[in-house]
Amino acid sequence: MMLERTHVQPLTVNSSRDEPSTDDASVAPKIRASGVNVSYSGRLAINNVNLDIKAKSVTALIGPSGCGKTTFLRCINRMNDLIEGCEVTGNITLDNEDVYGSDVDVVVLRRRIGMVFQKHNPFPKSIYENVAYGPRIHGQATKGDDLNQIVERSLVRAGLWDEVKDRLDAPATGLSGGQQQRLCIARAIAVEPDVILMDEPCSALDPIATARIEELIDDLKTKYTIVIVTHSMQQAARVSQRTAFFHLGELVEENEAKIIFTNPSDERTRAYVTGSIG
Amino acid sequence: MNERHIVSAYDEDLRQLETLVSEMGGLVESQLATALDALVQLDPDTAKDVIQRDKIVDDYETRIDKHTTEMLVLRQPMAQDLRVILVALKLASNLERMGDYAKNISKRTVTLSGTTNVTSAAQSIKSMGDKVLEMIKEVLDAYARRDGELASTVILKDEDVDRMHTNLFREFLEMMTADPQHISLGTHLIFIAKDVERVGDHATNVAEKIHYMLEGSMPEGDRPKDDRSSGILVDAAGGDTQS
Repeated sequence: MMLERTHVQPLTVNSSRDEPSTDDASVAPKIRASGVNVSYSGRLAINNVNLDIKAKSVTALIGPSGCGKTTFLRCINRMNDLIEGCEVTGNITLDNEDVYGSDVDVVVLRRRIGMVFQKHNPFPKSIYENVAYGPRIHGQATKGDDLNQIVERSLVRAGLWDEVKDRLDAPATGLSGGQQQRLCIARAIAVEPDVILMDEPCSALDPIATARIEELIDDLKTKYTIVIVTHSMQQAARVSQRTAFFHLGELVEENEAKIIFTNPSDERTRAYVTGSIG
Repeated sequence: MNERHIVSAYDEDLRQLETLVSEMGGLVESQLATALDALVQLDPDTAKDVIQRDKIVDDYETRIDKHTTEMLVLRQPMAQDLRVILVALKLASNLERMGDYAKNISKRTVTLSGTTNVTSAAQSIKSMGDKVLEMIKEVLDAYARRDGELASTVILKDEDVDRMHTNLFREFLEMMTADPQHISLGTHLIFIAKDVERVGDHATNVAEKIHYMLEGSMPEGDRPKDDRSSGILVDAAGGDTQS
């Protein structure tokens, strides 16, 4: 992987997860993308994206299909490494650490930056095993009691505990779609990540299950930094504090969600959020 | 704007909304103009027509409320569209109040229609009313043409109306002080003048909302005001003091 070094402003970083959430713009970003380009087999998919993502808040990435929002999301935890012909240049830091540094252990990186996908994809195992799998392979719990505590805590945080506590050994695939997606979120948070990336997490869910996930996202933001790609502008407006609009591989505009949806600066953003053509 | 929505029915909804607001504005303008003519001519029949037609103004407000509520629910508007819809709701409310003032003026015109010595005072009110009518016309043009600059000039004109109102207030106080027989007439005239002045305030509100609709922010700075009537006292000798 080729990686161009770009200048990154020195930051005072406090990576403690217990720091209070703040709106102060002077606080160092959790994630900083500088001059990020991504190409697939030489074809540029995103072009010179610069974006700071604030800790313990929800940032939504919106834009039409093919605009590069998912490509960008997948750069953050190096999911694009898995795609042949994909080349990422520029710089992405997590707590001021280079995500693409040569000494970075990608397994550790993906523990710190978890991901929830569009299609709920639990392992074909029990509910318990789905949540316990990550902490076990990362060595975060060795004793059964510790693992039980992690499973319970994760399912409680994902708002699923009460619905599954009496059938933890039942197959995860027997849950409803919404429950499976919350299980995937429980699985993601079981390994105590800093950041959760969500790629259209509600697109396969009905409005009630969607509302539950959105409530959960709102709750999780007090503890985690969340970046969500969504096709639903209403969802972006409901769940995000900041919203970034991508168009044709460019980051057109990023601002507080309430500004993006009431008075965006760029004509392209305005046309997109109002559903207009030119 | 040459732009259109991907869903063309959305454009049709917005057009209908703007038509409703423009029609309501035109009706309110006509109501005030007719109310002022009826006052100058002390014509109770015309004044009663104005009172009667206020129901139509109210109906417009109800229709706009319904249309905007439906659009908010069904279209889930964003950005400029959201502002156009929210502002329509607010303009309907402002225009309805303006219509109420035209009705109030007409009610007092009916009461005054048996009296004499009103012509000069009514003409003074009419002059202020003409200024307010000019503001209404311009603000409706600004709405129809999406002309923020024109809306801004309307805001400035309210200061002239305020000044005219202060002078009328003093004039009517002096009239009542000079001859206590005019107290009843003078009181009605003071209320009518105040009604006209309030219509000007609402026209200014409308202009500010149009600015918000176009720019996404309220106009900067305080709106100019020069209504000093609340500080005027006229003593028994006819001299006035300004606090």
